[in-house]
Amino acid sequence: MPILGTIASSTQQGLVTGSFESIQTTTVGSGGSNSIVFSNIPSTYQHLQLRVTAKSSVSGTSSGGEFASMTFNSSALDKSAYFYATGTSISTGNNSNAGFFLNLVRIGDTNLFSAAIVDIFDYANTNKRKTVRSFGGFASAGSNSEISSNANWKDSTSTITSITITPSSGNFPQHSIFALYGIKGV
Amino acid sequence: MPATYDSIASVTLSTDTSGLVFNNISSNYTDLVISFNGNLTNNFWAVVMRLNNDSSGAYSGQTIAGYGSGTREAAQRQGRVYAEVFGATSGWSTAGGLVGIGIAHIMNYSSTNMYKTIICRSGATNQSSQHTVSSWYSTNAVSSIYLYSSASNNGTADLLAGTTITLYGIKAA
Repeated sequence: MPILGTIASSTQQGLVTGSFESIQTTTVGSGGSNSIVFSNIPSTYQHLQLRVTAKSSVSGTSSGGEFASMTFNSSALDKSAYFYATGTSISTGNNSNAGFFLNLVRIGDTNLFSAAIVDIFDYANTNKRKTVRSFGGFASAGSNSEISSNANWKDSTSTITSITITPSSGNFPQHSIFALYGIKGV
Repeated sequence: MPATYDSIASVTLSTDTSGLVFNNISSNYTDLVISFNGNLTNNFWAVVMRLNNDSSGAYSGQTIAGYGSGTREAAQRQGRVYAEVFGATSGWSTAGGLVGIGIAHIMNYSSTNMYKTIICRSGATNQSSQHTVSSWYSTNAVSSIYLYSSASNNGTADLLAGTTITLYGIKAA
């Protein structure tokens, strides 16, 4: 099959410099971690984005049930809605844990990690309650796969200065990565 | 603080093209992002991705899609020779002027400590919306990305002329 388009990848140009900045990245070490904390978040951006690659330390291969959730300023979020699928099964509803954002693959699925992108809008705007959008999941070759799209809401106009991420059980094992980025407005 | 979100390469196809390859991808970034704005030449096929030219059946995927009047669908794929990224499950219509768009994120693409997870959102105007998570069961760093149509294995769907595909790199601190 002919391939008519081949692009040699090299940096041709940067996008608008400084509009999307890396604030902090945490990579879990060999001992695992039962919580990830981003503190002293500067208020100089307009939005925040979390890019997460993580899994659960719960043993065995995935059968559903493990997830990652977040709090803001050490306070739980208030509402969450989801659109979820595993295999051919689809469900929608409200999460009992309003900070839910990612279904986690278990440690038994070796080398496989869940991934999610979480967008936190207008986190420093004291005229707005805080709204979060997230989607992600994992695709397993040998067990269940899971995917979800979520919307979360914190009934507070306070600036978010810290984000804490925890697993539903166990901890985040080695090589899990949590990266926080800031997006500037004009 | 250094610039974090770089455009690596971008192309707008001047003719219908069977596939597009990004080669020699630098390992200096943390994640890769691919944006797609265009369509295929035949109805209802998906845009798929093959990494490092691996066609060994090392791809799995989970998709959720909504299309039509209240129709929704989910599917799990295992042992595939490609990762579904854009237009998965329902594909896109080629009806006049219809445009498909999508963004795919290859997370930690150069890490040798994990298989590669790809999360995607895509949709086609007035037709469908899809979310897909795929995995490439390899701990090798991604050095090339091949985008083509799933129909190409047993059909003739090409990437449509006028389609724009851009590769970005995101660098974490």
